[in-house]
Amino acid sequence: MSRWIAKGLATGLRTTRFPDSGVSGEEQAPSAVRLRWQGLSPGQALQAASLCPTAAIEASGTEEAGELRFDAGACILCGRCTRQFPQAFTRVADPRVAVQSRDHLRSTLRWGAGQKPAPASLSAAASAVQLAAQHLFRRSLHIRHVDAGSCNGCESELQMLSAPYADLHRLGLFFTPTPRHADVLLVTGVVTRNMEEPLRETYQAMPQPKLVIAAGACAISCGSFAGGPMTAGPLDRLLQVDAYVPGCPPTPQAILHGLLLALGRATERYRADQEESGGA
Amino acid sequence: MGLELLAAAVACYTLAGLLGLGVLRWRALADLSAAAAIVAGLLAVVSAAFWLGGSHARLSLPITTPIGGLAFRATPLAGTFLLLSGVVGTGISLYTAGYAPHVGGRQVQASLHSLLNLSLLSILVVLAAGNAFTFLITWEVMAISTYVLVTLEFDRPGRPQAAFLMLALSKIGFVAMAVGFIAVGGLRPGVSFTTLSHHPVAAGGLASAAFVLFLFGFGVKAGLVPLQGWLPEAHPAAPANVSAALSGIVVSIGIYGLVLSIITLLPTPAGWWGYLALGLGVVTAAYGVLFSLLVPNLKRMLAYSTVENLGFMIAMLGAALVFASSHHRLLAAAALVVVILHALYHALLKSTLFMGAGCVDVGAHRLDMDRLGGLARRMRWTTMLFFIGAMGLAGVPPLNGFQTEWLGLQMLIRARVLDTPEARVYMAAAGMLLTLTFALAATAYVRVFGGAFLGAPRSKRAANAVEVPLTMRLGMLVTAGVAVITALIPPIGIGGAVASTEGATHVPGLLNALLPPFSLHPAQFALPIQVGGTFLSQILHNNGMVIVPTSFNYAFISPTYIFLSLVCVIALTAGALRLLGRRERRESAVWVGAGSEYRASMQYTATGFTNLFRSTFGGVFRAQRAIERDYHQAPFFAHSVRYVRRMVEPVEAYLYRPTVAVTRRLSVAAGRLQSGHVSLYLLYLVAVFVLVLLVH
Amino acid sequence: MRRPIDRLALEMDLGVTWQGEEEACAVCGEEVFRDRITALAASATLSDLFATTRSGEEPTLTAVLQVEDDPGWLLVSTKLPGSAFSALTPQLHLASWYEREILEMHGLMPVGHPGLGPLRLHQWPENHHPMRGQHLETGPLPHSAHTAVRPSVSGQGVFQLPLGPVRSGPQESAEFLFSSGGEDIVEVDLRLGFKYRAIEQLAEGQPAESVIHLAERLAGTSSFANTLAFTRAVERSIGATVSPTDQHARTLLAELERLYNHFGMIGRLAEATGLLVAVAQYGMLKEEVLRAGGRLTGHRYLRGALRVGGMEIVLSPVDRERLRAELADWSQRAARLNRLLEQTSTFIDRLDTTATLLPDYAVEHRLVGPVGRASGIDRDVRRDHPYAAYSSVEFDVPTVSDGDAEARFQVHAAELRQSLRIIRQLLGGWPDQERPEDPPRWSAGSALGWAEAPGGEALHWVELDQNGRVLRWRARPPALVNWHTFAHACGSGNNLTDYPVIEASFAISVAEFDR
Repeated sequence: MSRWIAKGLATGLRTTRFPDSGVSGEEQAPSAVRLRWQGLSPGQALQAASLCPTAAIEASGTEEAGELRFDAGACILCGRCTRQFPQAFTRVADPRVAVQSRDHLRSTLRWGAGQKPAPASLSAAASAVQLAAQHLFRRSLHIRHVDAGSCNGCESELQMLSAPYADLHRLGLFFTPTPRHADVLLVTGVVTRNMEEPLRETYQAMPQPKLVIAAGACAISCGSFAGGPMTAGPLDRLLQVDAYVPGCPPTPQAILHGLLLALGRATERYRADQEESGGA
Repeated sequence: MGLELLAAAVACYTLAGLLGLGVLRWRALADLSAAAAIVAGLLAVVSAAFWLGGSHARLSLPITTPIGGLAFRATPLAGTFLLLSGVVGTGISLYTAGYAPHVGGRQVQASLHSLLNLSLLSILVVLAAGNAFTFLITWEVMAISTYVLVTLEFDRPGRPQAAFLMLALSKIGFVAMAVGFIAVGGLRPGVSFTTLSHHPVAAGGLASAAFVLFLFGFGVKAGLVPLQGWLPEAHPAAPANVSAALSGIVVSIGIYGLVLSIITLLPTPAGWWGYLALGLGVVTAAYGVLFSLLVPNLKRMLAYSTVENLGFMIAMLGAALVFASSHHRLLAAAALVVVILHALYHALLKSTLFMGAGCVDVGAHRLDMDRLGGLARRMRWTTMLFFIGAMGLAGVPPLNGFQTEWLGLQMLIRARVLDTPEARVYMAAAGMLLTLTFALAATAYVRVFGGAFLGAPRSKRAANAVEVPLTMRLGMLVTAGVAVITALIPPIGIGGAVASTEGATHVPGLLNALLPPFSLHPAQFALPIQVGGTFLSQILHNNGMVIVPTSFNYAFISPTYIFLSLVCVIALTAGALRLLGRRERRESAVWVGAGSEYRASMQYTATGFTNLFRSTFGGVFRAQRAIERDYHQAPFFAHSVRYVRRMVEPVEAYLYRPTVAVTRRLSVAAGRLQSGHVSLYLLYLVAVFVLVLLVH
Repeated sequence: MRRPIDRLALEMDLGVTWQGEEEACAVCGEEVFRDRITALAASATLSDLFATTRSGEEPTLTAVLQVEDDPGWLLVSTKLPGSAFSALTPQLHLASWYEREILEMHGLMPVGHPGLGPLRLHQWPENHHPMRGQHLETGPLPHSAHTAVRPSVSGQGVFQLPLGPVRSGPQESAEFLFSSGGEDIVEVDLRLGFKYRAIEQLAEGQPAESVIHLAERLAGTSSFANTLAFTRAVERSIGATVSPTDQHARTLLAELERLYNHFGMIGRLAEATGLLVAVAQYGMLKEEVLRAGGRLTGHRYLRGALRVGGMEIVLSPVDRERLRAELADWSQRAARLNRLLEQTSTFIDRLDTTATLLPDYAVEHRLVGPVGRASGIDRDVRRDHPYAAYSSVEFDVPTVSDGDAEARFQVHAAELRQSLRIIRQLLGGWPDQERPEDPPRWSAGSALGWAEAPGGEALHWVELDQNGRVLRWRARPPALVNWHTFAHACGSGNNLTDYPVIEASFAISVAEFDR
């Protein structure tokens, strides 16, 4: 046993400083995709929509007049659009991609005769909305996770949260086995019809005040499973969601950001679209 | 006054018995019979007060035989036992009024009423017996009447065998007792217990032989291993009120017999007497508690718990003998106080528990703890009273069991004063085993109460349980109430036990040693005096509420203060919560992982709760476990699984059965003497005649 | 020199047509199907049994068999005239769950099956068969109609302990109803299917290239292997070839996935025994492998790397050099940790004789993957049916025959070493060829694809139409085989406190089973 203690001590400190400092490129695979609308022509927009395997990029109309709808919540990071149109679709390396409103993940581009595509409305600037009970959870938060029909990728990332590199305990966040002690319901997976009732029961079993976080493209928008016969989700059809963490699966740091965002300890950084000079 | 009141009590019991017989014709007589019995019990209590006060009344009836006459006497020693007989008898009689109709038809009820009163009567008379002859006669009446009571529900399987075992062992004990009395010279005309206690006749080897005979003779009724086999069979077999009488009063009479014979009739004990009794007592206690942890039947568990408590009492008796043999008379007397006090407390609490078991039987028609549950909601009174009994015997402060267990262990700690290291080690080891036993006993009672009363009902009958009639609850309330009062006001219980002990051992100053008034030790009680102030000054001169194991160098406790502080803390907390806490409430379903709906089978059962002990101590009773599967075509497609557990009772398997087998063979061999030939019988007659001529 | 498959088919009187060198297809009548398959299974392994139903056509039953010493596969199919067939289960117990799924999904009754009951759809009405195109109305499902505990457990003092589907930490949803007598496990009633997403149905009618993304999300931690198997099925169906560079890349990524899975498994095993330093150490190793994967493919779980006919990504020499350095570091750390674990008695004692799956039982149910290899079954599709670049690397397939949790731990640790060895060999000899840029040419057909996922062999069978759309996709990940025996392993004399060890040592994915 003492050899294990010696080993642990010899390994030293490996934990990331996130969110106090940024993440190095080493640590991070892309967490989401962002649309640079100025890099996209109408023809390319229509092509991109046919490339996308989910409803993340949808387009209607013709090259003369049409609309492109981009939804980062349905993006499964397949990489097709970023490979084909790298000037328009960029990968976001900053893991701070969680948002509090579903609309903050969406962006709509419209183009008319002769005009270049321009956003119909700039997505609202990120703002941290203080939720009623956030002050209760500032220092210590207990998370009840429910797998409502995921592929296990999200669970693997959640398990990585407890590993030394991410380590959620240093932020006062803990997983709890019972909903009676939980403050946050973290849901991954499309909500399958078989898991709909268990999810509801878990929510009922949690005491007030409670928050709900949807992690992963499946929970936010059902991802590849949208419209399937067994899909009862997405999550915000059933419960009121306080934070959305896009990704497939979302990286551990992104999930951390989502948790801290719901607590009011972090701010939104992600924008579904950006202007020319926007930084990553 | 002592014996007059007792005679009145006897008369009332006789009346109650006769009225009980009359139930065959008129059912209404049952209530009158119960009323008479209650009066008798109350009279017994009052007379006990006189006996404890130091009455030495005597009565001799003009019937003499070559082995003694009928003599009665009142002694302080018997006083506590008379007190407990009276209180428990009152409770049981009250209980019987409501319980008898559930036992059986008119005939059974008549037998129940009459025989119960007969046995209670005989118990009173045993306590008043003044010499060995009277003692033995009345003892037999008690044994036979209780035997018949046990066989009352004879048509249920296993009952006749259980009663027969009880009778057989009782006979063996009787013989041992009688021979013991002969050895001390008690079965002679003109020799009474009083004369023997002043001038013990037996000495040396004869005294040791008498000790062993008394130990095993009374040990039958007092549940001493290896003679306890009848107890776990007979106590559950009897109707609940009879079980209460058996476990409450009759076993206490066994303890009385032990104390009477060993302490008063024998001279100063030799060293090994105490060790033998202590060792056997500890083994009995451990044996009893192990089984009480495992058996699923409620009454059997209580019966084994009786064995455990009896073991403790006998162990403390042994400790008293050890101290007495090394001339530490005060410590010996203190240990004896523990024995008598525990007998009193155990009688009160165990009778409550057995009556509670009877209530469960009547209300839920089930005694299998694994199929009960949820009774707390449907049978509130029974639950509360059973809870008091369970907490008391589990040793939860500030109640009864805690006091005696604590005092007993303190006495074992005092073994420091003994000379030889072996003696000290032996006493310490006994103390350790007893502590383990107490811890297991607490577990056993948690198991019983939790399994039977708490949680959700595990069977339809438990779900439809109904509360029992008022008289049954009142009966339990009497015994439980007296138990709580004596626990919280130590001078009552301890005072009585001390009076009995002083009567038996003539050690002065025992009460002030155990329950000192504050005025005697102002330095020790400085803090309570400061805190209590004027209220305390009123009781400063009386025996206080603090129990001290005869010396202030060790711990001391006060059940009264523990109780008062508990009440204060609970009241303060509840009040604070009321004022400061929020009152929102939302009901939600039981959380079982959000899968299947919650079922009553999703909670621990009583047997599952203590399964760990089955595996740990499995060697003692050859615990075996088997999983049997029924399947279509291959075990992979099993559709039902049975989990079978088997257990062996060592004393029954390794002692009784071989003994019975040997006896049978011997009697078959002896039967050959009765060949049926007249000529052989004539030869026998001649041979015996010649022998007698030669001897005389 | 006839192949073993040909010889066997001749014995069984089956006419076989070869599709390439690796797949032999045979058709037989419904009346003889059961007998043929049962006879075949005596010397071959039944690896899959599934049905295909399409409106307007007769249902088809297909059995996939692996024959000893033959790198190919034998597929035997039959058309069912009605909606019932003779069950194989009475003779072949391992067909039990396949047939239950066929009944549940397609409504085809296996006559003579001794243990029918819902497999994944516990709350559904009985006559509802999703793959027949029936849809339930929207809205919450009625609370489980099948509440009876199967098998029923009786005994003095036996009680149930429910676990799930919402379990303790971040774990997959599955329900375990333990029957216990105290602290032992008498029986486990296993209920899976809470994560049933109807992935096979979603794929029908989709272009194969989109279904790749569905296949990636069949299971997260074996995403690459399952997608590889699916992609190979499509490629074999249309006859596409893959360049050696891409084959090397595929092999490397598959082994990388195996690496992080095994690191994760040992970490969970250490967590089950409370050895927290080991949990942290293996957690770090797993994270580093995931980061390496993220650097190489742009996705930590290696998604988006495969396409029909090759790879979407290229592994540059810089990437490979960096990976080689990391590999050396991982090898060293893994070896040291493994040695330390084997010397820790608090760890090994918890694993010894826990959840034993005896070799006979394992063989009867033809377990796959490390679980099977820990019970003496020496099978690995990387070696027995080589694909990608496995024929150009040397590796061993470690087997232990004790069958307990310790054996499974040893097999996982040994496979770790082998994976590291394979990756080292691959990095040593990287082919430097140009990638062909031809897009795939679609044609109608069907084919089998396979890959050794971290949990065992993953079989995917795909049927395409002439435009490259998927008509039927059968995914048979390894979890489908190994979950069979989980209940038996739990009940073989273990305690409730052993349960985390049992679950961690099996390391089977629920998502793979539920699909």
